[in-house]
Amino acid sequence: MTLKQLQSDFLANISSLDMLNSAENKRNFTDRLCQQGNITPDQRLSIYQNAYKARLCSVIDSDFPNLGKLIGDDLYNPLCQAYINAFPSESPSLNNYCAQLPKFISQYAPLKKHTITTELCDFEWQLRTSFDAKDSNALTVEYLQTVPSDQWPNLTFKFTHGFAIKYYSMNTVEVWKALNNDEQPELQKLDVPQAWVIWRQGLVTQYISVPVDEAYLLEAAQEGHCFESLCELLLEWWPEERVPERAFHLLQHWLQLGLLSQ
Amino acid sequence: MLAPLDKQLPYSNGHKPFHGFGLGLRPEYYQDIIEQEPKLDWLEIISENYLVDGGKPLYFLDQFKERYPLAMHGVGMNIASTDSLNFNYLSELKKLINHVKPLWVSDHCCWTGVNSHNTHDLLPLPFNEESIKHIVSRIRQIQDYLEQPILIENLSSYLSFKTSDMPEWEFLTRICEEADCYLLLDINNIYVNSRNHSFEPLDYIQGIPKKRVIQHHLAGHADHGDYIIDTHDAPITSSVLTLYKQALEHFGPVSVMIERDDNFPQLNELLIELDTVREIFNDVQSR
Repeated sequence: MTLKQLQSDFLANISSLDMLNSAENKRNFTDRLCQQGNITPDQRLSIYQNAYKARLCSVIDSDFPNLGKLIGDDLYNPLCQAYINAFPSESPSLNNYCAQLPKFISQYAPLKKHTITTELCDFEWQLRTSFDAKDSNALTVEYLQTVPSDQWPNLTFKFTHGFAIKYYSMNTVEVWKALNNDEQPELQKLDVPQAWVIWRQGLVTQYISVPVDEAYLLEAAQEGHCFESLCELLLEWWPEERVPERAFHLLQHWLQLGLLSQ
Repeated sequence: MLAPLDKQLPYSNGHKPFHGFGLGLRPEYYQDIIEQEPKLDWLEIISENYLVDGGKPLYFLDQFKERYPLAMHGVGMNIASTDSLNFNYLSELKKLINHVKPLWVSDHCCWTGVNSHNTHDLLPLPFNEESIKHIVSRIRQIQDYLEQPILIENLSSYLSFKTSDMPEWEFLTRICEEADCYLLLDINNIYVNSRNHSFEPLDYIQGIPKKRVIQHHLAGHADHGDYIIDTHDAPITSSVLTLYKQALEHFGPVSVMIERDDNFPQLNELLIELDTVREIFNDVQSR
């Protein structure tokens, strides 16, 4: 028995949840453990089994503080277990352990039909992602004032790390707020999806809803459209004579919020 | 290759640094420590908490760095794993070391995962020649890469292997001597293991060479009668404080700190607990 084999067997025994399949493996492994005091090798092994599950569940709890409140323990606990089974951690850090949960939950049979669950999970993960995003130097009005007027049409924009636009077809953020205050949420399907911008301003994670033209422009700016092109896109919502005013208003708004970076 | 230890650290020639009394830095206490600037000689950070791109953790890290000496303590080195060393992790750790300029860097004498599957738990292994050879080789590679010696911490454990053929203290001593590394000796873990594996904790203390011990951890645990779980969620027990006193008598002054990882009390309660540790220290030193 090599150290490699022993570690592989130990790992299989603490992370495996198919107890029928692992019964023989478990017996083989516990046969290698010392009998000490009043607790059996099986009980000793179970301390590690419990710790493994508890540790990963606590990471999910921490990254999704309101998901469990929304769906209740009867659905939440099996969901955590299923995720832990499907996604063993492969990194020394647990920072991104839950990165696949929003996608996982959208395909998880007991919940996939419940849009609010998928959207709330997505929103909580985005808050977490923005919170830990790399620091950015926010673009200032003063900096933009130094840009010569002939360069404005070709001006493109960079967004702060952790910036994201999300579209939710339910009153997801209101539900999240209610849950966060330990209140009973009222679920509501929206007529059209609402755009939300999520980002980190300084050390604080922020989120706001934005109207459809602003969301469209933010996405276009993110894709690298220049200022002139962004103005042209506004023609879909605004008469030509009002486009410059709207474009500068939006730009000013983004600067005030700290969405743009140098 | 690693430069001779006596050229890197002042403590290899018998002069061990003593940095006094510290606390494990946890996010729950960030604001209080910044605002109150309590009388703490040093803080121990969990390295992995700061291996992030940006945001609050790194902001606060710089705040604490300005105020206190910092030691770096990790849980992700996976020293005893039979997987290849994770040089991506070590590279990130080295960047953090260069930024923090810590008193020292430590991790656990254990494995946390294998076959690229990380359990994020501190897992034991047999105390035998095969394990020693494996761990010594890994620590030497890690120290070469980090360009400094590391401290390894003794583990709390709940099972032991029939293939172990030496006591834990002999196992650790052999590793430290052969890898030229140092020890972060957790007094609570010695007590926990003494109860879980039925040995005399003073034998453990007396079996460790003084020159290798650079830091102590103290923490609370949960006593379930037949076994103890190392929970770090309660005050240090009187049994552990007694063992700490015996450790002081054997090792002399060693930098010491309290770890608290759950059921967090007010900061002031931890500071009072640290005062108790100081009193024990002063009592032993004044004899």
